[in-house]
Amino acid sequence: MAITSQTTATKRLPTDSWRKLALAGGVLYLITFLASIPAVFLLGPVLTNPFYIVSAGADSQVLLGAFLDLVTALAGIGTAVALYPVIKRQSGAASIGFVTTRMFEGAVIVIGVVSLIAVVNLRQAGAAAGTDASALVAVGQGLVAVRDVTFLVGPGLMPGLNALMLGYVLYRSRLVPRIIPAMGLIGAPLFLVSATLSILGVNEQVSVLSGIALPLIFFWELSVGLWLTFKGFRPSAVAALASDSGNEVVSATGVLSPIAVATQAGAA
Amino acid sequence: MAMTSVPMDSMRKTALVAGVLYLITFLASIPAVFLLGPVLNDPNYIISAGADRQVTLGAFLDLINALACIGTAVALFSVVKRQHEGLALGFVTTRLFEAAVIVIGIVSILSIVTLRQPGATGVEATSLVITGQALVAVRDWTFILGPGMAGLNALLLGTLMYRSRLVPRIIPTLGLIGAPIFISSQIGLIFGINEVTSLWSAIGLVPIFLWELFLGLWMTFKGFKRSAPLMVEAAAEAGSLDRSATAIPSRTVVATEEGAA
Repeated sequence: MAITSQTTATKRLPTDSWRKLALAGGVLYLITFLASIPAVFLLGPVLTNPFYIVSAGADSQVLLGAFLDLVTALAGIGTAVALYPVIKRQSGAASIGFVTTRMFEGAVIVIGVVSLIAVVNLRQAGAAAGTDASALVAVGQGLVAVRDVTFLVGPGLMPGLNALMLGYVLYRSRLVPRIIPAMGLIGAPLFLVSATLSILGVNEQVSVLSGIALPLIFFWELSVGLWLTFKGFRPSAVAALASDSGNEVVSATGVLSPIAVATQAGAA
Repeated sequence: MAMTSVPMDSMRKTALVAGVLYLITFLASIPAVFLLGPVLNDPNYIISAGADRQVTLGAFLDLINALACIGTAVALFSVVKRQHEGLALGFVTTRLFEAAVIVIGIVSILSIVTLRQPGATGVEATSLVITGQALVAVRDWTFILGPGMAGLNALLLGTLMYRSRLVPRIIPTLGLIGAPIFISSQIGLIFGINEVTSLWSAIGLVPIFLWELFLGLWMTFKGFKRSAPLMVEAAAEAGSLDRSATAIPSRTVVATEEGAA
């Protein structure tokens, strides 16, 4: 039963729809850049002013920044979802792994987003609610601290794991020129070590390491996004993956269906 | 090699990776509880001398635990989806949900460390203490709702393991028996009619604990049972690459029936 449904799922994915998936994956990668970089600047007031919650505020700017972070989180998940139907032909485990690391990253980013929106809400309601200013400031700093930590654990750590998962699949499958995933695969371990040290609070030694790791991860993601958007998957790799799974489908339907029936009978 | 064909030695690798990740969840989460002791138990931690190194290490181990949780489901997905893709994907989602909830607790704890370290600016101690207590309260609830997912994990993966016979059935049986009791005890905690140290909680926790531990140990040291129908299939598939397809089905069907009998 499981087998038959699986074969239909893998069976036919016309190669022109592969181009669409590459485009979607690439554009979503570019959206993560276009949304996350301005967000850092827009969120400046709330992140850098410890008294933002009792200040005049710059709420609409901050809310726009938070919204862009939300867009980043969803686009990040989208990159994995868009690429999944193609890359699972190379490695099912690495592909579902990429979906999960992207989802985890998205979940962590959202914790930060809701914290900052809460700061805005408390600033607007705070004075009216008759709260002690000092208490309000402490709560505000707590919520901003939450957001700062999510930045370390989400975008500060997960791109390393993303690069391992997607980089592995793209390197093996040659769906894009190998130099692109090679940057990600070299950058990933360095990035993960420097992220771990940052989380553990030993920042001093990190700067050199992250100085090497960060550009590698940055250009890996940027070049994947650009390549997939403007070039798509390399046709030779597409042909190899398509014929590969085509053969397997034939053999799977021939050999496996009797077992599926037998298993079902046994389970009944 | 795409997912439809999984050769035998890669099955052993999958079992090993999944088993080791299960064991990592134990090795990371249990010390974490003790390392986090100071911040969880001292209501004034945020204005105390602190034990930041220790607390940070505890939070980091919780993060390892969360990622290893997801890893167990990712590693097993490509195998157990052959049994039932819906249940297999369900297990991935419950593991992800668990990890997402755990990470809310992690950032709460690390935020306390951040607020304590430089001493938040221009804030009275009492305000800081209240904020710290709120963050600990958040972490305490994530500890109920996150690891509380173990019940649903056991229902989903336990069913897959029981049906597929990839490991001896006594192991998923423990999980399937424990799950309803565990889930009821967690719901009891949420509604305040049960406590973490009660007999109810203990009866729920013990079989779930043993199910995960034995599953991890078995997969690490023994791998999947070769007599399991899924394994017979995988062997037949690997064989069909160099043999004629017609000869295989009858043999595998016989083998499957023997295994099921």
